[in-house]
Amino acid sequence: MSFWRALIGVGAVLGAVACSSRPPPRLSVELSARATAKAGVVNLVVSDRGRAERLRAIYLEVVTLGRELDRARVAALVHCRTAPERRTSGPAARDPIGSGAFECLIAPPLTESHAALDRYTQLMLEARTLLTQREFEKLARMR
Amino acid sequence: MLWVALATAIMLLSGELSREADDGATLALLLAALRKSTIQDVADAPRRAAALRAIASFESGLEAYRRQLATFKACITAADQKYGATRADYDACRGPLETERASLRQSLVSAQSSYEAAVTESERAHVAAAVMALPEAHLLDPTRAGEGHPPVPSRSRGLEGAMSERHSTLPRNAVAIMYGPISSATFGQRFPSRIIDGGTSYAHLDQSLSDASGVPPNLWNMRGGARVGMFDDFEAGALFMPLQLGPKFHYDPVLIFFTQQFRFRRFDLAFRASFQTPGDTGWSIAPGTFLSIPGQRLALRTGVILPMEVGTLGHKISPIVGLNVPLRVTWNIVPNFFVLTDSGVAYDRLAQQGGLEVPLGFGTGYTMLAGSKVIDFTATFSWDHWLMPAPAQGSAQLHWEAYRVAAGASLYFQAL
Repeated sequence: MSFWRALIGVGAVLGAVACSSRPPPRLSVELSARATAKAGVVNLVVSDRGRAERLRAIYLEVVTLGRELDRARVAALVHCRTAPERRTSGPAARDPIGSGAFECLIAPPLTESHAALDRYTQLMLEARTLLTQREFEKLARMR
Repeated sequence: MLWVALATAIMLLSGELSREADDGATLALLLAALRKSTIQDVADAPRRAAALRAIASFESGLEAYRRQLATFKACITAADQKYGATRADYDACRGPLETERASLRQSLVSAQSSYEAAVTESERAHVAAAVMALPEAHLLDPTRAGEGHPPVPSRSRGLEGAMSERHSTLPRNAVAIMYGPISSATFGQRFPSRIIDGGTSYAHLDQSLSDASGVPPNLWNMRGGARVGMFDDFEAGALFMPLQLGPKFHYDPVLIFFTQQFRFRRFDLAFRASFQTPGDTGWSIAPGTFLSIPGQRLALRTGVILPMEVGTLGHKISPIVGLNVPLRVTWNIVPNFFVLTDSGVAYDRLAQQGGLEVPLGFGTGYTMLAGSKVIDFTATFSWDHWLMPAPAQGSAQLHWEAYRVAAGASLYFQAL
């Protein structure tokens, strides 16, 4: 295995760490943890049953989004490691810059993650419309 | 906080933290190997220095990116904490990260070129071989790229709120400091010689029951402990502060329990193994199985428990075996406030004829959020020997004079 393959590997791990692991923890982990902490106790803060149910659904959807972000990240990294070898052959395949592997590994194209973050923003803004400031602050203290 | 430390240790043992930490530790090893091999394999000092500078530059580029990533997450967190946040606040978090990605790419490409210029083809091969020979290099294997991805938890790991919605075990990573009655861990903990619940309690027995059981007629207890959700449906805990305050102060046996739960769509099944450290009647054990039906307003919980007191190796006794089938109905009038009723049947000593009893109890509690913690304030009043339907002598008897009052509070929090 060539040096560059090793370096790409290290880069991939570094990239993955930069994007995913603790420290710092993955963004998806943080978003999910915040939502999970609120989902179970939202009805202790919001007395209106309808609002509480919708808010719980919002927080649970955020947890699902977190999992989707994780899946997208792993799929993108797998794609980065395998795709350049398929795309090119001969000496070009051994050139991680030319093949685009390096860039891909360090910052994998996560179009799904952009969509997930958009949805997250939308959900968080909807949650604000369902909460009074006092309720919002009480829930925010959970995590 | 001893229990926070313990919970953290348990999470480490159960792998909760290790998955997060593995990549970082592995990465450190791989980079150390890369550096060491470069020092060993690149003989020429100026070229070696240039190669090491390239590696350092590689690391610093990534470090800058990681810092920016942390800034991005802090930005999202700040927006999450701000009631008046708008879409613009969230969108503003992304811009710098994209810029930093581009800059990272440049710094890495530059580092790579510098390294390439500094080392020869054969040196590169040696370095690559040394790095890839490490067992940790399996993470670099493309065919295993998806491994190590944390499995999807089968249960939400946040604290549970309303009492009627709670399951038989705590969610994973949740810790409870128990100093109050009405906990699932002490539900049905009725041994032949003592009834165990959390909090401060006062039990009064009429003289006939006191004589028959050997329990003082006026008994004050104070019991506290903790339990931890170790896995999604498994918890363990102990009432490790079991004090008898009166009529004579002493340290009661410690109650230890493990509960495994199986959640179904509408109900939970749980198996609990409890035991007490040796007391007057030696070791006590109480295996039990439980059924609970949680609900938004109403919850039902029952179980079948076989409590036994079995002596010790040094002090052998004929095992005292009982049977306990508790029943609890909990009604959350509002999510924060609940009332409950306890009953069931109990046979404290199966060998004793006419010992069947029907207890009756009532309880209430208020659940509140205090910062990131949930606190239950709870109180119960129960007649543990309320009805004896078929005593050995005479007809059915009601024991209104034998009652127990307990009160206290329990605190729940997420350990991680």
